[in-house]
Amino acid sequence: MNISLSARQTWPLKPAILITTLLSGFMFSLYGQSEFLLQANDLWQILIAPDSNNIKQQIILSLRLPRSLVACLIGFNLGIAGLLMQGLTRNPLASPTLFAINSGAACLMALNSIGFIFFSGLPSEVATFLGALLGGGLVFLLGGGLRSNNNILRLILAGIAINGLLTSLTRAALIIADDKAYSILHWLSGSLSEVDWQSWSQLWPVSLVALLLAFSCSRGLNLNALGEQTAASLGINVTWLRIRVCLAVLLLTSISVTLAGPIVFIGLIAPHLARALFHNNHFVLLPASGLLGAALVCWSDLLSRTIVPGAETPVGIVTALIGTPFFIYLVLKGKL
Amino acid sequence: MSRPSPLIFTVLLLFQLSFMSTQTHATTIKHDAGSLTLEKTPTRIVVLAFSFVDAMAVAGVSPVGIADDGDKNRVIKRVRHLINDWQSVGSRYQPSLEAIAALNPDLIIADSGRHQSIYQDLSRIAPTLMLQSRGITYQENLLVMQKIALALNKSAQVEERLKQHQQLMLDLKNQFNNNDSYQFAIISDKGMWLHTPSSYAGSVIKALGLNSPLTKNSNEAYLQSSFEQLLKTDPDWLLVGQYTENTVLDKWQTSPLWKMLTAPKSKQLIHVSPNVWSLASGMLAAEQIAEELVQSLTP
Repeated sequence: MNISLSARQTWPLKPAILITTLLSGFMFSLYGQSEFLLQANDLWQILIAPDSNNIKQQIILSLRLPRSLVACLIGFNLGIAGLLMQGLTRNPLASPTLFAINSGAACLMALNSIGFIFFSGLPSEVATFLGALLGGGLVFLLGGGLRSNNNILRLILAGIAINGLLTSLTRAALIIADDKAYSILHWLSGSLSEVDWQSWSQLWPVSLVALLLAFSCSRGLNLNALGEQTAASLGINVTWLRIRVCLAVLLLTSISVTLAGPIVFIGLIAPHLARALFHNNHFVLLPASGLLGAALVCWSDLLSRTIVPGAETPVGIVTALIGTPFFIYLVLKGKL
Repeated sequence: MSRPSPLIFTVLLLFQLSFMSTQTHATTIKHDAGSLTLEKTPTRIVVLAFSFVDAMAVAGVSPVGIADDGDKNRVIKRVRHLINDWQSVGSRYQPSLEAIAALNPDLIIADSGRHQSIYQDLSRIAPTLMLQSRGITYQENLLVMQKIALALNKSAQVEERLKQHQQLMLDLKNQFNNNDSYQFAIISDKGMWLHTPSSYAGSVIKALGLNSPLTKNSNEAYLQSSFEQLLKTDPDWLLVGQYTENTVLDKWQTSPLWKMLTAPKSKQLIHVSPNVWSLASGMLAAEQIAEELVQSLTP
């Protein structure tokens, strides 16, 4: 009784803080760190006196707004994908990286950039998306795929093997690319500098489908946390759950990596933060992890613009800088 | 074991004396991996960077092998016209040691920014000069060119040509009488990279006395620029070298903000060859860059 009371007392506080952090990050990213010295007032002006010839308003509407929206949704996707992976494997170290989605995307993107035979005709986005699906699909099939009663360790090992293969292919492509390598390297670090309204229109439909699929797995993941056999005995079709979760992770990560490159660590940090803040219920954890991921990417993108003023620094560098110490902290605290 | 006969000593002594006498005629060149002494003028030369080809063309010597990435068109036209045909020795990032050895060179000129790790291997094939090519500026390259001239025993000729070059650059410089800012950028489907005055094209622009739109001093040769930053940089002249068929410009051009940029508005957005403006980085390339800039003044 006491526990439920205290939970009820604090419950509006934590989500409120979380949503405030996200919203403030979103607002700041609309006008912060601009060479044009945009101000909060410019946001207000857009609402009360829209002017299509005003360069500041146009920058916010056609460059900043899509970038902030894409940053938030990608963060949301990655946060959810991370939680799904950890919930499915019951391994706190699991993240979408395990599925070789990032390395698959990177590999085909790099091969596409150097004009490798099969991929030279494809638009870069299509090649990247195919690469993400290919990497994820390979790990899924090698790791036991549709068979029931398979070992989760097998999935992890398959992930490591495929990751290794794809990463070495990417390196080879980078060496051959030479002069173009810096643009590929930039993308490989995860960058939001080239997203626009077109990216947003590609991102949201795929994300919506994948997120609905993810939320439909909440109950299954809650029971799966008790162990696969317990879940099965409580009426969960574990194989079907695994397929749905894998498909959701695949879609969420693939579309994100296609548009912004691999933004690392979000899928690892966001679920851990969510678990530290809220209790272990996937109905709460899923949106919480998503919102945390969104806030992280949004603020990281804002920070990434301050590193070299006047030039773009990949946002993936910032998330890695935040993620690594956090990871060490988790290890030291014995949470892993 | 018998003692060696005095004859052998005499022969050795003579040998050494003759060796010393040729050494006094030799040229010693300081390079990025120490110094190299050439006893006679090399004739079979393999070069592993495009700026060295440019320097050899100026000296009027044809290399037997070039690391041209397997594409002869990567050597710019005005350099190609000055030299004889050559054998490709693979790519600049990973030249083929076998192909180099098969040409039996007596001098290899390698890029110290790229080939440090194979310097020992190259030295076993032939005497090797390590000189800068990657990331070099216009002024630095003129010094490297003079070093190559020294190695080829063509210093006088190159000195003469350099004087012509400096006169040409001065003449071209005098044709600009505006305060416009000029910016060269590489574009691809991944983004836009502005070449700052620390890059080759940027330093040529600077040498012509033209303004850079970049206000902050940066040691970076290349700066990635988003559309927003390009709007802020807003150069009067924007020269773009395109690496891929589709570029970010295609997207940016559809934005309502595109018409707020000065360069496209005043028809001062010019497409140039990235091979000349970015890859070549030699003196002849600098002349072409300067001439193209002057041509742009008269539409």
